[in-house]
Amino acid sequence: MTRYVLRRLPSAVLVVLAASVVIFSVIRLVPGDPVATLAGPDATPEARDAIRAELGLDEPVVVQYLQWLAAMVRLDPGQSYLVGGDISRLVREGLVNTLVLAGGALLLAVVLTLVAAVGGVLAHRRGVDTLLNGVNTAAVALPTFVTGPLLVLLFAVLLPVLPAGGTPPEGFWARPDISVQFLLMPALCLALPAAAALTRFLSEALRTELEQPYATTARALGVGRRRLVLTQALPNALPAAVTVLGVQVGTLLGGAVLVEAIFAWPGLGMLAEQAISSRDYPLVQTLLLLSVAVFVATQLLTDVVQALLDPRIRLGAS
Amino acid sequence: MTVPHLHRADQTAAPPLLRVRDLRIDFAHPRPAVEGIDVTVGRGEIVALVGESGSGKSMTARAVIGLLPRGAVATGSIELEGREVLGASEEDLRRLRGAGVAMVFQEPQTAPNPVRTVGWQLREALRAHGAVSRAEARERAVALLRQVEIPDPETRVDHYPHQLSGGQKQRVVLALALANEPSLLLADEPTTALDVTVQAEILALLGRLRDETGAGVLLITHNMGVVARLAQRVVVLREGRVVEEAPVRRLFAEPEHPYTRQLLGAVPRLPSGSEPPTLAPPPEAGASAAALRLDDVRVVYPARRGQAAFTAVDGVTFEVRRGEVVGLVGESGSGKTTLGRAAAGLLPAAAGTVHVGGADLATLSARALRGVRRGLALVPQDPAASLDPRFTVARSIAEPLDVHRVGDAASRAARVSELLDAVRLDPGLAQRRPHQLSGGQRQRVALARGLALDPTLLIADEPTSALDVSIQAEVLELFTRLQRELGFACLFVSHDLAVVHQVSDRVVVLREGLVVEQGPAERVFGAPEHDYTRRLVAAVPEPVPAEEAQARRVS
Repeated sequence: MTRYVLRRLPSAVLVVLAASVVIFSVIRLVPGDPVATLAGPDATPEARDAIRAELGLDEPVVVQYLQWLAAMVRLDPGQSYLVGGDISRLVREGLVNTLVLAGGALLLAVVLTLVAAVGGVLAHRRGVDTLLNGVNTAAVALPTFVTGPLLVLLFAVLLPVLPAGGTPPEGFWARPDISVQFLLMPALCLALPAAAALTRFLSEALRTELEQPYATTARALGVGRRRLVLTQALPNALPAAVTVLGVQVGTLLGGAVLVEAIFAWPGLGMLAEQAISSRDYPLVQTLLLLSVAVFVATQLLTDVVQALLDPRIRLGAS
Repeated sequence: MTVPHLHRADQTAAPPLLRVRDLRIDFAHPRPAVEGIDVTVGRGEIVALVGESGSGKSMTARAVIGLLPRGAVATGSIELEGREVLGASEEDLRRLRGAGVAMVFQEPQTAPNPVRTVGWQLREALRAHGAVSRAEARERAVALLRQVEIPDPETRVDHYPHQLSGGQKQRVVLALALANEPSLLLADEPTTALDVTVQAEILALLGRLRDETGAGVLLITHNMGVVARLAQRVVVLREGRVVEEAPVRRLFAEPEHPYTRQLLGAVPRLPSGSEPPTLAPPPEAGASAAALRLDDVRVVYPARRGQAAFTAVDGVTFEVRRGEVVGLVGESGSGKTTLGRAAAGLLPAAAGTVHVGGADLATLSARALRGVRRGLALVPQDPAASLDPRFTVARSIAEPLDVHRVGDAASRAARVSELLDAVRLDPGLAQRRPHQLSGGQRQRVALARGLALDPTLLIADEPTSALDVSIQAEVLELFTRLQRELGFACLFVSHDLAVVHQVSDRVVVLREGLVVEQGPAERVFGAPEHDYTRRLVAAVPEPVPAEEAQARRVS
């Protein structure tokens, strides 16, 4: 089991390294120059050169890359050019907000999926299936920038029960009940597409499992459908669903950028938006690399969870 | 094994354990799956329901336990201990399943739940028919595992299915069925997926369990050897109807219906020990290079997923001379399929050499290998899986010609109709797709495809094991005829000794990756030298009722 995890580590490190090269190069290929932004339109060429030298942008590209990589390994990404301040502080503040949002969304997605998929399979009625399919299709089809304002309109404007945006003024931990009110709409908005995709997958997986020979064995022993679904089909369907969930985390990270903008949620997404529009190279690079690292770590975690759920991987052959 | 005498006249007073009367099962098909079947099973009686695929034998069993596929409509009557099953509510059926009647399934690899321990599954079976505490359930589970003769049941109870061997898994499936002491066991091909030696053990166990528990058994099988070994009464089904019903000895001694006779005649048999082995004329040896020659071959599957590298075969040496059929026999895990693939150059040999038509596969360039492959054809086990479902029969057969760019469109079409004729397939089938064909027709297509390039060597991996006996007999006959006419050499891989005996000149017996014995087929099967071969031959259930077989062995 430990070996199973260790074997995956080298490729994970390789992916992060490759991503760092891509991130570093792509950012420099995008039109725009941080020096021009920093120096302003009236700066003399000498002033620009001075700024360039100060930022280290006059060094060869390879040297710049290696310096950046070394800084990342030391976990000290340095100073932001334009957004201002220490990058690690900026990232830390944003990260907490984003983790709360994404974590809430993930939890919500898992709960919604389990209820809809397992409930739908247990209900085993055409009407329920049709209804769930309809909701599902709508959730997949509607983009976040439609569901977000729609939710705000419904629950903050027409029926003012939830705050329209922002984070709780006293932080998340002071008043959890208030924090939940702030979190509910953005998390739901972020969770819906993921939950819809997951529900579709898990329902289908459960139905397939119920056709498996072991399910027939259980039915022939007098095991009822409810128990069969909950204690036998579900544990068999879960490993594959966990893989899909792992992929959905990537979608969630991407979706967070939009959702944070809609709900004025000061997380990494908003930070990234600011950093990109001002060509703040170090900040953008750090944020992108961080999200790659989070995604890779999620995939590793997915593999581990999958192995824990499946005794054939956990124990190996006898 | 003692066989209690059943069917005494005085038994008619109490209702029989199972009485099926005029059972019809309808689908959306043109023909009903079952058209008026009558079967009775008494307490402690083993009744065999025999028939080929499509005869309705499995459907009948599924109707008895109330698990017909969706869309099937059953009419008639199924009484279990005097109570009607057809039309019972789902909850009544659920209570019946496992407790009154239980089922033993065919495929031990997939019948248990892979992510739950053996003990958990036994507990679940017990729980379905009344609350049991964890400790009680565990105790019962261990006792059940002991009853089905699994060694070390206290440890095995915590194991997952994948940690058990195929035979042990089938014992677990039996234990599950026995958990709630059902009065009737439906055994649907309970040993078909097992090796012969394991099959013999499971059949003996089934007999002992019947003696211990007094349960009736409805044994569903296509294997006449299994019927002969276990059943007291036989019901022969064909296309949803009962064609004959008789006590087992009478059925084998004087089969009345022509279909029964045909079925019995189609069973390939091994020569019985009493017959002197008739030695086949030695194949013309040595002169030209052998069609296939393996020298000290070892094949290793590299380590993966935390599992160590696995040596599948080691130190294997044998040859297939031109025009000769060599049977490669062994049980599952013996490495026979691996060896077949290595002979075809699909797996590299880790050590030793593989020569095809005198050329060493390992030293050939990719281009030269292509040339060698042209003279080599594979006939796979399951044509349903190996034929492209989107290709027509004609296109599948012509594919080797297309790949090797032989002739033009017209000559290829001519060759296809020639091949269809050779394998006795109606030319009208040329435009059909695999799913529109029967199993036997599909295997003929696979054979025609294999012969398309006039191979000098054919490698056939269990080519008939997915077929019904009568179809198998036809395909084997066709194979033998074509082999004689076309003179190709063949490596015939199979677990079925009787089939190998029927087609092979020589036999190689493989066990756990090593050759234990090789020689002329008549000699190896008639007078096996190695202890393992002897056990293998003895384990083959002969289509002769148990008592007579015993008598014959004694004399």
